[in-house]
Amino acid sequence: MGLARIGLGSNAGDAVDNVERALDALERLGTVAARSALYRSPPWGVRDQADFVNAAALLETALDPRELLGALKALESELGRVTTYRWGPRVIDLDILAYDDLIVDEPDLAIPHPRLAERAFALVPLAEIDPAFAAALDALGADDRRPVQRIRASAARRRTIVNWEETLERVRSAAAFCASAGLTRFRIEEEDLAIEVRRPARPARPVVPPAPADTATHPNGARLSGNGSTAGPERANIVLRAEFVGIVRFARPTVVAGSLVGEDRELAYVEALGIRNPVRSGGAGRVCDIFVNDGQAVEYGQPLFSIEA
Amino acid sequence: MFKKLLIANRGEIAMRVNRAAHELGIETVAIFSEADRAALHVRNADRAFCVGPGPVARSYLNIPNIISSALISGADAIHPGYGFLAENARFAEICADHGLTFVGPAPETISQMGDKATAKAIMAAAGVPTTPGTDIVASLADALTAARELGYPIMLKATAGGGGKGMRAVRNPEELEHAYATAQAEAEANFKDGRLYMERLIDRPRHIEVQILGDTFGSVVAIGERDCSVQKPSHQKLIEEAPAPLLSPHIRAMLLETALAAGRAVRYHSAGTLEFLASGDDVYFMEMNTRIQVEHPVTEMLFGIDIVKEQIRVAAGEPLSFAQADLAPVGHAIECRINAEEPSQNFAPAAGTLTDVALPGGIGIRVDSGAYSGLAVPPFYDSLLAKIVAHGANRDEAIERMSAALGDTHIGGVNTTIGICATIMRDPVFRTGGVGIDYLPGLVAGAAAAR
Repeated sequence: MGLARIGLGSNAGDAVDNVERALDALERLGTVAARSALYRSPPWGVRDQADFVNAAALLETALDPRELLGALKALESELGRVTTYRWGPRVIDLDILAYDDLIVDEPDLAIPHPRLAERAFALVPLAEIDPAFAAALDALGADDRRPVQRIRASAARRRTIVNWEETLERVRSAAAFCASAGLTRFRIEEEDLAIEVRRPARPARPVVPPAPADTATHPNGARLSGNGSTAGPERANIVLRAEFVGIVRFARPTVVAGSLVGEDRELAYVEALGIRNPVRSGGAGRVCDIFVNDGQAVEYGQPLFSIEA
Repeated sequence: MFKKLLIANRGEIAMRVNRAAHELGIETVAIFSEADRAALHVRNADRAFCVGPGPVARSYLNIPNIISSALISGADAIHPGYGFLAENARFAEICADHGLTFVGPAPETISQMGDKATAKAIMAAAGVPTTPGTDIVASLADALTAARELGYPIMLKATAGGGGKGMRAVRNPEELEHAYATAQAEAEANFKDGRLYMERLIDRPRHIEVQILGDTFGSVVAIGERDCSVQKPSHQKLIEEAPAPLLSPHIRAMLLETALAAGRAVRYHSAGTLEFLASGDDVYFMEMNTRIQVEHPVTEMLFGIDIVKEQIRVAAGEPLSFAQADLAPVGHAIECRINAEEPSQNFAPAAGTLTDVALPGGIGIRVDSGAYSGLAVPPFYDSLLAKIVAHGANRDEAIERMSAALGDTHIGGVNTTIGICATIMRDPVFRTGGVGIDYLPGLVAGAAAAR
């Protein structure tokens, strides 16, 4: 048996209903040990888009991560068909945020979810039911305050099912207190909310990848609230561009959208005047977009790939 | 004839070459920097490649990206325009190495003429009158010794120079001591070659140049002269005209003969210009430019020919389409360069976004320009916005047409030379004709004193 942390998100049709149905449906895949409250967050940028509703669940399951992924995708399809006339990817998104202490780094499956540490809409529900993520939530506040403020400002104008802005603040102060007092475990309870912070002596696994160095040039608030699902189409942090005018040739093995690449992976080279000028990933991440075709002529500055750090 | 021509330049000259190529049925490939994405020359070509960011060293001088653009687009020739790579012999060689025809003379000719001391020696050997002067002076001490023999005033020049850079007029040993270091530093900074030579300073000379065209069959023609004496204090030309006013017929005939002899001496097979300084009845060879020049439209209007088209044709191995005897000037032509510059601040270049652009037209008016309302003028390049050329039955008519055209010209958003050009057209001294290169600096200094 494994303990999976599942993230749920919806912004189409009756989003609250979609998430609740999905939480119920998770029971078919194992035992739901805990359900978070439902969190609402406003979409970023597009005004007439529906709010996002998110939740998290702890699922004790006999399925291994890959089987679980397949089962979740099947569930997404099933719920999507019954809840809307038009098939839309955001009807329900189900993601494996974490699975035991496993680290999986494969082209189509990454655990823990690579962007979890930067996504308040996923992290806040998860921290509610799994105190191990409280530290990550605290790190989010410290490392990347700007998007958090953005949420706070917009959340104030909207009715939330649970005031997770306040929850976030409480978890953060609990974590800060825990750290400053030198405690490894700290728990407070009140009415319908319990916050427990556990601080490991050293970080057990890289749940909190470093925040991108240059978020200013990639003003994609979307990564926080632009899409409520944790697997939605993110805009990339790094766009790799051609430095040379020439013919782009993909390196073997050829990457596809979704491929995970290492820090210094050669994705392609630009052939110019008989010289192969390599195009390297420049950082570990997931290939998000491929803007060119193998064998195509490219000019200086032309976008080739985008990498989600 | 070529099938596809890459134009390794920007602005009005890129558009000029583009038009000529299209008239010849040649497809065109433009290059541009990131700062020029919205430029007209990018839109008018059949295909365009961004070759680098704004600074010229990384874009318009980026030889690998330019050659690669030519190769992957299937171009068979490269036209360099003027400036940038136009007089870079190495670039011409690299073109040849990649099977691309460089639209210009042979690389050896570019090297020889690009080195002013070498050029002067070759021309002297061909019987072309040259300014009395020295070879390269190795040190300040040598310079002072040579200057004593030559006699002051003296013009100190960079052998790799051009555009007035590395050039200083000195009247005594004290001035030479100071100018030697600054001219050397300027030449080193601009041309990576600090070697200097000296010439006797010609008193208030006129700048008169002769346009030549040659083909690969050995024919060379001299297409009249141009007077480019209206120059900024930096020795950059502002107004050019043809024929040169008040030039005695025998001097004119001698200039054309000399230019033909010079062109034949170097087996010249492209468009080129021999520049002379004229003072009274004396003319001296100054330098040869192995490229199309900014002011070539003046000659085109006067003779009713297309020099750029002819330049492309001869580069493709075709013979010149006319002989010397076919050339007959009609009337008079004047060009004004409209630059984004502030004349009252020593013609300091101005950058900004152009607004309310209205360019002139009408009988006898030609405008070569890439300017339009909304165009951001990048800070990286030459400040030329438009060339206005007026052609008339005689000099007076050409000047009146130019005055009217300048009155019709509006460019907002940046300071321009429209006003000072209009002032010059009204100036009795200019209208008399035959001004020297000291004319415009004097006019500007006078205007400053009046303020």
